Amino acid sequence: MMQGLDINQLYGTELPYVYSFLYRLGCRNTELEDLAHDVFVTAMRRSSTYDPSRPVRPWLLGIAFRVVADARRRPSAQRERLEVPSEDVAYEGEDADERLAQRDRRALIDEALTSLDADRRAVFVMYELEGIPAAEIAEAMGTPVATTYSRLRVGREEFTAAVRRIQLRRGER
Amino acid sequence: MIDSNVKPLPRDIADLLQSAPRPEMPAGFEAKLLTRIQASLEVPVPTRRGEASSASASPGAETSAALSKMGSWGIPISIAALTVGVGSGILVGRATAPEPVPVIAEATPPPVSPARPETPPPPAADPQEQREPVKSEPPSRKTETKRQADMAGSTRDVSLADERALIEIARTALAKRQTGKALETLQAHAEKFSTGQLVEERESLWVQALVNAGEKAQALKKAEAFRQRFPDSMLLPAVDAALTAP
Repeated sequence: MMQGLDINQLYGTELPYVYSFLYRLGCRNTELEDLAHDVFVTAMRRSSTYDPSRPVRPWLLGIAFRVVADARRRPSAQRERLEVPSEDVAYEGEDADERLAQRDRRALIDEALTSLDADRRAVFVMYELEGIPAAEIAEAMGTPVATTYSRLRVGREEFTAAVRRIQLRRGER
Repeated sequence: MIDSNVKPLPRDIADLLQSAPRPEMPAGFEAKLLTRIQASLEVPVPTRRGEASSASASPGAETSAALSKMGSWGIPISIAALTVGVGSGILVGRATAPEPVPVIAEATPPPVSPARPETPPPPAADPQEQREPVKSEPPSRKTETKRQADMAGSTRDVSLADERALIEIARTALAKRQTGKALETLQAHAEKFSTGQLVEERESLWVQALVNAGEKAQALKKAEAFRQRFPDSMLLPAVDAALTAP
């Protein structure tokens, strides 16, 4: 145990959520791996700030948000971010259609998320996709609850508008 | 309680978000990242019970130990070991992986650090060197071995992707407290991949889902079976945490 947090337990249970969060904030490839590394290392080094009576995920995602924000402020950040080619996987088998549909839905969400600014995007992802209550998001991000709701409200509007635009372009509406 | 100024999402958008799977981690990501984190934190690499941890162990041995601890947790180890490779030795898959393929690890550049300093561009190459023709060599035995391993790996990866898709649906449902959907998906995984590569992860999620469903007795039984089957699992703390959750 390290000051109440065990890296193996934290990593074993939370990595998929940290990965998803970073991915949905727009991180990819090497950058994503580097930032996920920083999230867990930062979390362990700041484990004394974690209140064990509170859920760990909002605290960890709050760290992830700050790690991404810091990285994006670095002058070299833009150069390090690489565009990832779209998945080109041949799906086979009885559930191929469903998997193809899943991929399309994920791509639609990823693209729509890019229309949100960083703060709204983080709140939207935590609330809508990770199911974290607004009060816990506010605590994790160090902002008032009212600000969190405001970001969520605008984030919902922008995300919905972006989905509509993409669907229109795809000819789905 | 949501603020009254926040309009609910349109139904189709809410459905879209509900049904979207989590992004999938590439094969080998977990083990590679864990090794880096442990190195940064100077945490001793976990070893199997009864094995002494050696401070002088080679990087390859450390990676192998970390991979063993990771179990089948989303990793087709025998292939992932290659990508994890820190440039030394031959890494072989864990016992439960289907017919591990020995793969010669190739030297890979070290992972890029986010805090790396700016480096000047490399000096221009000597024109004399540029004129030097590139010698082409016939495919070596090593290359052939790697090609065969890649082919075997690609078949396994398709199956793993199928498995992972189900596991991710279950995990997402669990995170959203859609316990019924989580249990259904785990059952589907069990039927389709009874001896799959993500059994360990499925069983750990199953315990958590049963706890969420209020089936504490079944969860305890499942957890005990998990402990017996995967005594060194890295997911054991998550299973224990689920059982002790209020």
